[in-house]
Amino acid sequence: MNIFRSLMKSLVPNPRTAFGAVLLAAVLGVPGNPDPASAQGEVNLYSYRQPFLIQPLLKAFTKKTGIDVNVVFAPKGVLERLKAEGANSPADAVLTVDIGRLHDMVEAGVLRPVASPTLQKNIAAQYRHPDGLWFGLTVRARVFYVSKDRVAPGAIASYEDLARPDLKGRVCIRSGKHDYNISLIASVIANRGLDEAREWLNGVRANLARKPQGNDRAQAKTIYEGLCDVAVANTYYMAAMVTNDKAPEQKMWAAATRIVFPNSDGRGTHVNISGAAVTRSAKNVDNAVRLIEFLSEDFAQKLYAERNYEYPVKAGVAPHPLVESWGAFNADSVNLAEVAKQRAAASRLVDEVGLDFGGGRS
Amino acid sequence: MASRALFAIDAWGVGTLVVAGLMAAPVLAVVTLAIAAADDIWGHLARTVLPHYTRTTLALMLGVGVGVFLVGTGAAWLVTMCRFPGRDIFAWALLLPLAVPAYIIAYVYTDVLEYAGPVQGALRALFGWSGPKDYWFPEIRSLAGAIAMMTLVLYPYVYALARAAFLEQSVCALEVSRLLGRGPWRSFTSVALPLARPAIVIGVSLALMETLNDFGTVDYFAVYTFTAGIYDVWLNMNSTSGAAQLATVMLVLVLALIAAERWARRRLRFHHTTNRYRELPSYRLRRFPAALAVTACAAPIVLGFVVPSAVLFDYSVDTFANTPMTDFAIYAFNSLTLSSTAALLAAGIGLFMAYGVRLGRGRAVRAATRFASIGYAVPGAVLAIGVIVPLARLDNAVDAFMGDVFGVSTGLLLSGTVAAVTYGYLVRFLALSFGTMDASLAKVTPSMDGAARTLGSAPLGALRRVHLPLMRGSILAAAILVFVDSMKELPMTLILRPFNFETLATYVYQFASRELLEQCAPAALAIVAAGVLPVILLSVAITRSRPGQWEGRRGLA
Amino acid sequence: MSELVAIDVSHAFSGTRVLESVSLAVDAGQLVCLIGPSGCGKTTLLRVIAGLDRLQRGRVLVEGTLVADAENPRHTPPEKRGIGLMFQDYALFPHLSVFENVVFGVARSSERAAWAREALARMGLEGYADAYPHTLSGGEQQRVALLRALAPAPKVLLLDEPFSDLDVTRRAQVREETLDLLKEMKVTTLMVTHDPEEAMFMADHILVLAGGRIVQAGPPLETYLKPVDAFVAALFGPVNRLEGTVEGARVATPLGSLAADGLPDGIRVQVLIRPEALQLDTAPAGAAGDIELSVDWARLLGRTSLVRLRMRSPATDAEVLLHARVYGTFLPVAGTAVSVRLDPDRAFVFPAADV
Repeated sequence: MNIFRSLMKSLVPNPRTAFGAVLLAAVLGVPGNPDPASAQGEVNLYSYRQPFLIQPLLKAFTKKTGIDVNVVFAPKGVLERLKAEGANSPADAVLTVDIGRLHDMVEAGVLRPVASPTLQKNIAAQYRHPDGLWFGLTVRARVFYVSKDRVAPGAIASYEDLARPDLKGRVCIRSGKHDYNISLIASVIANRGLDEAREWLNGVRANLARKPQGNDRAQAKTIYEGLCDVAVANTYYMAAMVTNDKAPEQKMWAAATRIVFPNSDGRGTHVNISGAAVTRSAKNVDNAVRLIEFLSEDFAQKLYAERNYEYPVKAGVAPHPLVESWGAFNADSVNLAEVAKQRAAASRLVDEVGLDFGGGRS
Repeated sequence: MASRALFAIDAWGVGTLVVAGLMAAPVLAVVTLAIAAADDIWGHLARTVLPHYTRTTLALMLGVGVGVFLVGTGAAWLVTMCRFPGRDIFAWALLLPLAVPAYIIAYVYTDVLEYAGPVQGALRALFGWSGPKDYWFPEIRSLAGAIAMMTLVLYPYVYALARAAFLEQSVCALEVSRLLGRGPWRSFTSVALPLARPAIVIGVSLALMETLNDFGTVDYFAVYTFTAGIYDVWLNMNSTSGAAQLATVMLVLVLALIAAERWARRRLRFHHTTNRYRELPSYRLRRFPAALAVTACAAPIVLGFVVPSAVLFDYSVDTFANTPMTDFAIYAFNSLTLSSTAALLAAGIGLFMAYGVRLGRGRAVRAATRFASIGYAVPGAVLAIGVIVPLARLDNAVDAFMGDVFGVSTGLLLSGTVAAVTYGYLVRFLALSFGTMDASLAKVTPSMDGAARTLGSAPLGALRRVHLPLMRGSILAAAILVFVDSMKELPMTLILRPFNFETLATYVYQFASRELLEQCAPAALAIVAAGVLPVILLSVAITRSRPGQWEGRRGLA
Repeated sequence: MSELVAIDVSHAFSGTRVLESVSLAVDAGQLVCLIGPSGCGKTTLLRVIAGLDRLQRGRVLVEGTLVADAENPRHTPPEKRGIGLMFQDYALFPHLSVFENVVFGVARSSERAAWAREALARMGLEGYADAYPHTLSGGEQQRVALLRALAPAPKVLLLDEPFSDLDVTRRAQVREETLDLLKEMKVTTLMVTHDPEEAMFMADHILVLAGGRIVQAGPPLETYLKPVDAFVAALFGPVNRLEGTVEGARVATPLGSLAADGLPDGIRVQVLIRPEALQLDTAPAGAAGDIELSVDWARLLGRTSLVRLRMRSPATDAEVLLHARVYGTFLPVAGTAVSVRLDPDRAFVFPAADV
């Protein structure tokens, strides 16, 4: 069979991925990890991002520099692994999809400051840590998807509007405990203070059309289904739906909705970043920095924009035409580190308000 | 019965303690993490969401508990005691849903049953409804939906254990009951069921522990349980210790529940009163009862296995061409090798510990083995942290020692290797293996140990010559349970694995986590398929566990 | 020389004393029976001697070698003691054939294996060598278990209620075969039973165990005829019980006067009379000491007849029922008066408080 032939072939040229070799290494007492001391041409990555989203970028990096990139993807537990492994950790760099994890890592003291003129040039100050502990690589805006049919242009324009009484039973959102929503709520706390944020979130809860659930894409679907009129979601999901040839029904969901950049005329739309950082334990510091620099350069930024429909963090690199077609917006200028500090408070606020238990139809 | 002094220790006892300690280390690490102060997490939770989490968790456990009990025990009774068309096929096919991961069945049914799915679409076309406000349809993403999903994939635990227990029951007890004037149904409820109680309780508690651990399904269905709370405290409030505290409390509750059940039946004994076995009688069902039995057995198989497999297959047809075959083969190879290694080791360690306890090496040993097998009751990702912490500490201590003494740095020898992943699987699934072995050993009468010993066999020899042959079926069953569960295991694999290491489950997860199940359907289908053969073997093992079954046949041959 | 010696063995389960300072010795080739009611600690004693349970107090020696000592901790594991043990439930291995069971404890090629084959044939089991235990009858299983215990040629053989799982008709035959085999092989044997007839039949020496203590030790005859207390006397079957008071070292009963050696005047005593101590005759009472009693009923039990008699107690004037066992067929009609003579050798006097 085909599978077996490919399997056998694959085992020989690529022994690191093969179980047997690693097990053998473990049994023989040879480190199963790539040996940091002897590894000249590699960089080891702990990633919160799904590999299939970043693989093309990493391949391009390897092709350009000859530096191999080794990845472990885990949606949680990376920080604990870094902490426990300490100075011997094989990880050189970390990739995250959210400011929250970066903030936690700063707090835990597992990151190392990087002074790179390239990174400072490429990345606006608000999207990187003042001491170079982390760097944003892409920007994603937390926007509204609104019903084209049922919501007039300009009728819903700010996060504050979500709490407006006339939207009762018309708002959809994923779980308040999701990273993206925690960040959004944290940004409201950072901008308006805890009390106002609480009042606002209570209003949002009262307006929910259904119990918070599903992912961002599912919110668009509910608008298409007529269940609600406005949903909170990240920009790139819209693009992913519009261009989805594998599941064409998603194009219909997208067609039923329009994107609104909340508060763009005011304090700015809340944005989050996907980012990278070099670990304190890094053995391949230079390679790690080179990788992050590579990811901040035009080539990678363009790829991010084209494949993932995110906003490039580097000035001068255009977003995907589709993304550009939604129009420009002003981003919230408050430093993301300030937002990240409010995350625990935001999480507690979600509990206090009972956001996830709200919504008539559960 | 041997007298068990608290510290009567010899080589076996020490060995058992050491192994039990190794297996318990991650749980202890979690408990240790919990000791650190967590700033007012409890006050906050108690004021806000804890009552809801607790209610939901209890409702979920009650629902799943009742569900798996009814489906598992009912099906086991039907295929063991009744004769109806297809019985022999149902006997093994009822185990098939075990091969389907809960998070996958949840995704599949959401796709099928949600508003935009084929079922509601067809209904709308049929009745001319235009929107969701025109009709009512049960919401799959709900507590009831979660209960249904978990019941469908977890009832096989109860089914497997209940069937084994029914097969082992001496016919005499049932015949006595019939002679005393009780019909088949009352004989079942008043004799067979109480006799099978320990086995059913183990099955239900395994299912409930899986339920407690589950995060994928409840998260996807927006059902907020205690486990959701653990992850929330950990990841959103950035409090590892708070999460460990919640996990510890959950662990204590689980242990209390198990202890309560033991206490409730403390006066009851379930030893077999006779060692004579005969062909089990069976009620021949005809017409309506037979049709009913076929429906009752077919329903869980169709819903728990056929439908999800068919949907995955349907997706696979579209995406198979895009699946990178080479990578896919490597993932499959990784999954299979890792799971088989874990299964073999778990069977070995489970047997070692169970036999160590049987040798009567004191209460300390028994307590240690109990504690060593509660990793099953800790949510996977939390337990993974429990694995990382002591392993990394060991690695760093070795590194420091080697650095001081020989001037060489050894780095991390175990952390982030497949050995760590395997260790994690063992810690997590030892309960399955140990429980099975312990129950199986209990069926070998103690006088057989004595006979072997007085005939010149040392403990190891007795194990090899007497217990092992008698336990073959159970050892196979234990290994298979661990294998199938390891194939599905996700949170620990994600956190503990080495660089560039994918299993089928982790590969599926990266797509499923973005609700793109279609794109990884072949891999998901492979996980299910890999479980099918072992599950059939498991059924054979259960049938063989009936005393006198195969020995008799060999004797006649 | 004694092959098996146990000295001052005590044992307790979670605080409950099961054996209390038990000492015993079994000489080479001798068969000693340990008799006592259920739960008196018999099986525990066997397990401790075999090494299956750890000795808590005392010492055990086999052929003069210390195998277990609680004071200077020493515990030879059971497989090294050279003690054979046959279990009450036989504990045959269900996954092994009859022959494989028997040679479990010996090397396959050794001469003991050859012995096992011969022994199977001798016991009439040659046809079952390849059969599995559960296909055998109870008697056959018993013989397999016995041969298995004997195959390694143990220095001492322990038998735990070896005949209790057999039905009555089989028991006598199997018992005799077993005794013949053991005597022929000159096996030093310690056997546990609760059946006095079995003990009388098998034993060279009987030990009576009660409440964890050995209360009497001696040859069968002595145990039967000279029980040390009411408990031992009653161990051998139902007895007639009367009460009385000692006067002049004798106690008067309606059935006649009995010697009460060593008992002070004036104390209350109980009189235990074995059913076979009452000799009945349909002829009217002639000799002195004979009395006449009315027959309540009579039943034939096979070798003996059981006759129930009514008697009015002179002390309390209450009606007392007596049982007499008579050899052969002796079936007087109810209401018949029979003359009764008491055999003083089978009647025992103990202080009343002794019960």
